[in-house]
Amino acid sequence: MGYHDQTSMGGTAKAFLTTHWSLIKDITSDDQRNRALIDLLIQRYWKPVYFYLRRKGYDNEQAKDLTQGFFHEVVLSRQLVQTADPARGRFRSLLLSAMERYVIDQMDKETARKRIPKEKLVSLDLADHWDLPDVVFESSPADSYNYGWVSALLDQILSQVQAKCREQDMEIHWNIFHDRVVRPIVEDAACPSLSEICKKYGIENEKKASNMMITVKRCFQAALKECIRNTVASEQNIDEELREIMRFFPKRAQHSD
Amino acid sequence: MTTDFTSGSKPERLKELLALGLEESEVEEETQSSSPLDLFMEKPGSRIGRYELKHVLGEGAMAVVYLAQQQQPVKRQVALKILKPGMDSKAIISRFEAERQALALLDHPNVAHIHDAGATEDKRPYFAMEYVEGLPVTEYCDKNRLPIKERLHLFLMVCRAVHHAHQKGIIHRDIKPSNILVSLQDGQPVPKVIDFGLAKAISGSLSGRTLVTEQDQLLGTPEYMSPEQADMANEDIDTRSDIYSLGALLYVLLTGVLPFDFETLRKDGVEHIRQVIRDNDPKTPSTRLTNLGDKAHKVAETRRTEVATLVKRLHKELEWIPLKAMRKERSERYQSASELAEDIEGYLEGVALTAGPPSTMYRIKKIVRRNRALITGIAAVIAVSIVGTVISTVFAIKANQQARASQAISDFLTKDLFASIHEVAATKSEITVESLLDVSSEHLKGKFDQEPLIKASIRSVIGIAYYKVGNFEAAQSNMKRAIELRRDCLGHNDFQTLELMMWLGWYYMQDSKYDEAEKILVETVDDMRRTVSDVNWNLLEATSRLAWVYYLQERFDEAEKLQAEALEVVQRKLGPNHLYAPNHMEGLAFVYWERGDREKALEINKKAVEIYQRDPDVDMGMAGGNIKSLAWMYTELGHFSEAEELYLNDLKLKSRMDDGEESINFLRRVGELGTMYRKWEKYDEAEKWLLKAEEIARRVFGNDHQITNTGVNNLIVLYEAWNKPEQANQWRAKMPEPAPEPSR
Repeated sequence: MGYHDQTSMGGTAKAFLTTHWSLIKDITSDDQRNRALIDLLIQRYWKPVYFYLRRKGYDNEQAKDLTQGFFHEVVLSRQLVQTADPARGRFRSLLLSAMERYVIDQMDKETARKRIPKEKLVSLDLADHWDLPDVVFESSPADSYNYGWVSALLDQILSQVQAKCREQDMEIHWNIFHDRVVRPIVEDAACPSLSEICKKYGIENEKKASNMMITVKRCFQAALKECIRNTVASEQNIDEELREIMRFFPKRAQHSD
Repeated sequence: MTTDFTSGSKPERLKELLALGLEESEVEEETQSSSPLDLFMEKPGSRIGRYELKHVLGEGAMAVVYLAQQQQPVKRQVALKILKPGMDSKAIISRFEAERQALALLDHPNVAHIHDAGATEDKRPYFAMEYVEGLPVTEYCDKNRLPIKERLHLFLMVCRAVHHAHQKGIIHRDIKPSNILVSLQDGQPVPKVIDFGLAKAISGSLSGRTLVTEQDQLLGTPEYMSPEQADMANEDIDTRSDIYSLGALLYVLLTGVLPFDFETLRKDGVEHIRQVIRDNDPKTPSTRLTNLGDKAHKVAETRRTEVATLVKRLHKELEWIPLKAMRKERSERYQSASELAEDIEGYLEGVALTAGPPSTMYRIKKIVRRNRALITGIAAVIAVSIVGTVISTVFAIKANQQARASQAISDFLTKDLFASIHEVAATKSEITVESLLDVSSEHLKGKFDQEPLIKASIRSVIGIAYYKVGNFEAAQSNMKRAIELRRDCLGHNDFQTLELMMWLGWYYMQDSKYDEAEKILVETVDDMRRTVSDVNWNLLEATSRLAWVYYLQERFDEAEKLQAEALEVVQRKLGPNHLYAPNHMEGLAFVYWERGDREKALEINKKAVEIYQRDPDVDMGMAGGNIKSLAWMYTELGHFSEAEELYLNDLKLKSRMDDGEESINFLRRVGELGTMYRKWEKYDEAEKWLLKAEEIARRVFGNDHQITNTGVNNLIVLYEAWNKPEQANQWRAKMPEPAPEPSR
């Protein structure tokens, strides 16, 4: 990570928003750029923020509003990110402390009056009866946030990998990876045997199927590591970040076989 | 757009996915400039350096191989192997460069050359290699239905190629059929070993780890991977690792199946596979073939022979070659590929092989090795000694009984006794040999009911084992049952049964059950007298034991009479200094001692020891009893330096301690030596030995064992004599219950 140049985004922590800005660099109008950035942040990070808010006791509607408002505030005023402790060097913790402050602010009547009207917010599409994972209610707000963070991180990486596979005419590669790795893990489902996979996708032998899966797995691994790198300010923060993410999970979840 | 893949998933599931994604994070550094999402960028027609890609030859776990055309400086076709994303390019290339000079020295018709190495634009390493248009060796052999002899000839060439590389200091590390391609040159099949030098460059710090980190790769390589490679912690890979892989390859060439059936093993996960590679010996090829069922016909057919002929051929001696190459201990394998080649040549020429069936000791070590994770160091030592006893028992039985019995016992040992380790491990934190025996003894119930003699043999084996770990009660009940079973079948004059009775008498005596001991020993001696000569060792031994029972009951006249009669017969029939004599002389010495005639006791015991000392090859197990009792007598009489001499020199306690001996008998002798030093008032020496004995006993036999308590008690007595009451009290606190008598 070499993003240490000063920009108008403020402080060292700017790096994170700079990284995100770079993803929407083709948009020229300021207003549109802001909206695009908000959209991107919501897409990527609504889960941790929303889970945190739900655990704080807000109902679905309130939590959705606050999630949207929060990301507008982050992008438009930048105040939140600036005043958060950049020394922590990790976007995840930065966003969490920014939000903690945002929630306190929202309880202040004066701030509440200044809220952006709902219709002007970048929307957060979320079904009303969205099934919240139990863990959100069983853990602390911070842990719910962390759970949401990891869930969002994995969603993002898997989506990217899937898209890339499609782009390179490697949809079957992706399907094998999804059937053999993602689904069994995420849904705690039975893992289909390689011979079943071969039958399903018309692959000549198991070895080939296995190699195809490994191709995608390696790609997933590389993308995940890259992504985590992008959420910390320096290499030194990576280990700390990984330790903290892993610490959030219960011990028994260690890979046991 | 982001798809919601993970919502609702349990945290531990997310963690698993995350952990999967984070495996091997340390080799990721160099790939930053390329997008981590690139799968493979290269398409046929594109160029990499001076190579134009034609088409994909294959996709492996780590790399994609293309057929490519080189234009400069020479026009030729090459195989271009491009690594998949996610590897440390710089390190790989530099490791490859380090091997390059050595690789340049490879000049062998059966080794494919690596021409060049480099990195693609997005910094992924590639290797340009001699293009070999051929089939993997196993496939070639099967497709062309090569008979065994021709397969061996091909394999010989492979061995020589590998040996050539080994001589240049290059280890392949990934020998497997797909890395040995066979093509036709002038109508003759020529094998070529490809990828020499690549495994080390690619794996580098990963060496061996691929087994774990690339779980899915298990399909490809572990079958040919040596135990030291499978062992993640082991960085010490040498040429003998390739010998192992060659052995596995030969196994497949001969039998058509892999040494281990990974299809079924894979279900239990990577660790299990690793364990199998490390701890299990492959079945002999002939056994494997016999168990193949219908598939065996196909195997035989592709070798242009019949199943029976093939099995016979393998079984006779050929199969020992792959098995020797695949030994777990590197030192037990062929030490070079040329040595392996020589045995193949020898076989082809009908010369005796260096390979052969594994020795008994090898099998014992194997059993322990297989369970070493569960058996702690000391228990393993005891287990070896027990298995050793048991196996010699089995072999002794084999001489007299049908092979069926010894097979059953052998099976029981390997399957039941040692299999029970896992059962014990599930319920107890500490695995002792005794707990193993308990479980396996349970297992025996209801088994072999139709074969009482086999059951009796196993019972007696368990009985001996229990005695060895000091559980006299269980030793007695097992031995008693064994005797009953045998008597039901064989009547009262079977000599082996009588031998077991003698042992049972001995166990009773050790357990202070003198009445039971007397009863069974009287019976034994009477029955033996009817069936064997009067100088039969077993009869003499049984007589002596009965005399000891009388002695312990303070029936000294009866004890003296028995020992004197036995001694007289031995000396008259076998000579005055025959090695059978000292046993009875010792018995007599103690009778004299108890009657107060100490000088006479010492005299006769000295003579007994001299008989042993005269014979340089005498067995310590036999002489030990006399020597220690003489040493004890010297101690009691205050002749300490004579006693010391016997303990240190004749019983070799010092060197046995240095050798790490941990047997019960050894500990008893050390206890006696320490006690002797105490009486001599050499407290420092006494303390040194007694502390050591206590430490060993506690470690080997556990906290509650009688031998450990005796060790503690010896120390208490020492510190009291030494006037160190504080230390004495500290040790007293370690005693579980009222102290037993200190050893004499």
